[in-house]
Amino acid sequence: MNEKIITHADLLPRGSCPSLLMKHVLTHSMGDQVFDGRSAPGDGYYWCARTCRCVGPDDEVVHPKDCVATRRCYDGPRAEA
Amino acid sequence: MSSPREKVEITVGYRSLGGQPDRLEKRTVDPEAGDAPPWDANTKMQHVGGDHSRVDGFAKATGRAKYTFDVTFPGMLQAMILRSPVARGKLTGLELDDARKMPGIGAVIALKEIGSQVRFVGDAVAAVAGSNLNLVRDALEKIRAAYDAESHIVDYLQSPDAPLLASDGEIDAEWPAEPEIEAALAAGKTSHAATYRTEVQTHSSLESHGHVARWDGNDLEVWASTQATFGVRGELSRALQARGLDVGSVTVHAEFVGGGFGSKFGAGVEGLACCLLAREADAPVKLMLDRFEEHTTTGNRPSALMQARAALDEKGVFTAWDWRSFGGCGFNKSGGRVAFPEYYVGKAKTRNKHQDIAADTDPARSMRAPGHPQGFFGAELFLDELAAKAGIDPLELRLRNDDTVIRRDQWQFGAAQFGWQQGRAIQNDPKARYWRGVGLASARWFQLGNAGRPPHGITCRIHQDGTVESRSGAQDIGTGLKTVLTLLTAEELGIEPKLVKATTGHTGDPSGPGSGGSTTTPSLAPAVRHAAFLAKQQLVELAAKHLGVPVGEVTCGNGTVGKGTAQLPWAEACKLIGPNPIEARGQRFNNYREPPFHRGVCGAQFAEVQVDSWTGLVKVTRMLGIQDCGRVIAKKLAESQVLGAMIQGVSYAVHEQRIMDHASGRMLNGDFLRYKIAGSVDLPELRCIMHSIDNGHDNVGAAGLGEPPSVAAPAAIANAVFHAIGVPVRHLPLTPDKVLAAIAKRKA
Repeated sequence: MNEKIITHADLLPRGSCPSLLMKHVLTHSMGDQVFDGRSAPGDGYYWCARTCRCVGPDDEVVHPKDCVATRRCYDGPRAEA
Repeated sequence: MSSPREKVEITVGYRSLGGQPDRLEKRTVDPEAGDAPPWDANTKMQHVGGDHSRVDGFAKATGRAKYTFDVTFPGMLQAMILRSPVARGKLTGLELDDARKMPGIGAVIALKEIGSQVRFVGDAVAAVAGSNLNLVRDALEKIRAAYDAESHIVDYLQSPDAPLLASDGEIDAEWPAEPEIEAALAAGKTSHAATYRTEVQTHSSLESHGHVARWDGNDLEVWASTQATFGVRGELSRALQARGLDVGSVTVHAEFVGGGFGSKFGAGVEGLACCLLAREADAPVKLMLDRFEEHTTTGNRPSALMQARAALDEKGVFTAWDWRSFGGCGFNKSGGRVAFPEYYVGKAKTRNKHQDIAADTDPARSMRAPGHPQGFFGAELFLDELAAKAGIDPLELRLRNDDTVIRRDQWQFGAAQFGWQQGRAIQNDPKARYWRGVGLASARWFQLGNAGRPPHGITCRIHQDGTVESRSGAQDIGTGLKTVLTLLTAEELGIEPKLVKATTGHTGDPSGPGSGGSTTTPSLAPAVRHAAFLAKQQLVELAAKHLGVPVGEVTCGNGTVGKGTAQLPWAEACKLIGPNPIEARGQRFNNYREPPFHRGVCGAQFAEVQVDSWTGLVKVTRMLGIQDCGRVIAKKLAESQVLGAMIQGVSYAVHEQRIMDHASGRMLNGDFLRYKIAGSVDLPELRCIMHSIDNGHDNVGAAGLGEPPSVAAPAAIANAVFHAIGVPVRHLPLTPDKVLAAIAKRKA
């Protein structure tokens, strides 16, 4: 078995917004293995630490692929996992 | 910085449940320097694994335990949220002044800006705090909110992105072409294809989401019904600062939490609103959601549509497994994924595709084993249908395909305990009113649940009077963390548990993980033990000095501290401490580098049902769960966790579903009268057997238990109904209309 282990950190875009929250960052380590072939980290429910909703300050839905430097409400890069 | 490690040989695995051989083996592990030595399968325990009652059971049963809902302060205001009545559109106007002018109203705030989108019925728009809830309700009516409504879809299957369903419920679309899958399917002797559906299940925690907030200058104190004290602390601090508030310290309390199944990780807009209202009113504010808000605005287990096709070879082994699923997840179009038991199809050609489909409803949130109960319902029922086609007993099919030794032992032991063969031999009289059947299904968790961050810690204090404190800032959401802290500390110190006081849920204490992913106990247990281990070393040093013997020869256990005949009773030894207690901070080290005995958690469940063929009512009459959670720390609590999961599984299987009004976009059964959950009259005879396994991955070896036992129950019940009536009901919940339709189909 030489399959490369995919972790939740691998699925998080580099430099994603530090206000992006998901259960996984509270309960696990982003270095945990992803088991089911998903393409986004965590369980799929994401929210913003600045709005406490799954909609960001720009009134758009929060998602790892969207909460990156090109987004209007981007709050700077998060620490690497 | 790496520390020198000393290798230790331990025994891992488990002793026979009954009928199968012991599975024990030697392993060499390398604990980090300073960690407590590992417990293994040969360690003799005084308290751990025993039948201890919940340490806070009396406080909970008598009402002495104070939940967020119970917190009150002089001058405290009550608060509520104004919510959108439209499912999709824009907020075009929001006039708050009339509400603000009302006597007794302390604060009114907007939670949405004019022009922002409204995404579901119940989206938070504004909030009001006042001296009592009646006044607050009146004030909410004084707020004038205007909306530009747009057309909406609250049933994801009505979305243009959803696949069409044929009149028989099957997905009416070709499978995407993949030659290798087609070849593997063609290579099988027996094949089958079918579609399965589940409906939205709401979290239904007894204590609703809510907070109490109190400011002292710029310092904020919050009481929260939460699954993540430290997460809420950080989130609120950030959210308030983002609103331009000067925030000093933020302290979160959650000593007792009235349940949480995955929806209470964030502060939520209600938590932020509570803090903002308290700031504006300059008074403490309580904001607890009501049951309708709880059902409609705090997430849910999403609905799922699943289709499987697979084939077995002449030996009854899978050659192909093709699976596609669709999740009905809410407006955020994420979080609807489903899981299936891939350990059956390890050698087959497999494909797994998933698509989330948005609807104008509250987003799904992680709920107890996210994706598993719905996916395992579909997959395990599919297995039974395939077994019937192939003429193989469902248990035998699993034994031929399950590649997990632990669960194979559980299958065989459980079948004997449950009376599987006798149950399958039932011949129902077609003319009789009541038909009986039995079914089974597997449970798993894909990790040991303790991959949490190593910095998590525990404080252990030993006092001069012989009492001991074990403190964690993490929350106990009802799973029994306080009891775990108590038993592990007592075991390590060799004292009675009654001498240990466990405290949880205050962010002034060492950090712990959010309670999700079945992580709290396995993440903290090694730190609890380490803290007690370090505190014990300090006491041993005092005793050695007092007795005049070398420190290395002094032991602490069985209520004494000393060497040979020079022993001090625990109480006498503690008098050496002086007025300031011994205090030690334990930490969670990384797991041992060697692979564990098993990397996940296994379980198997069996169910017996009685189906009323006249009314279609399903009565679950008997269930048995065999469940592994690594080392069992508190047997009674572990059993309670499994039994609770089985009850929740009964509820999901036969009752629970969110019913939406398509025209208004509003939930029609957003209360406990019409959203039915299992009550005592619904409960079967329940039995649970814990399967303690030493995986050898840290100094305790606990694994997660919150989620694994909730995976199997709905599937086992659905399989039992299939056995009873002879046709599968492929759509949860198994309500009378669906059961009668299935029976009619069989008769036809």
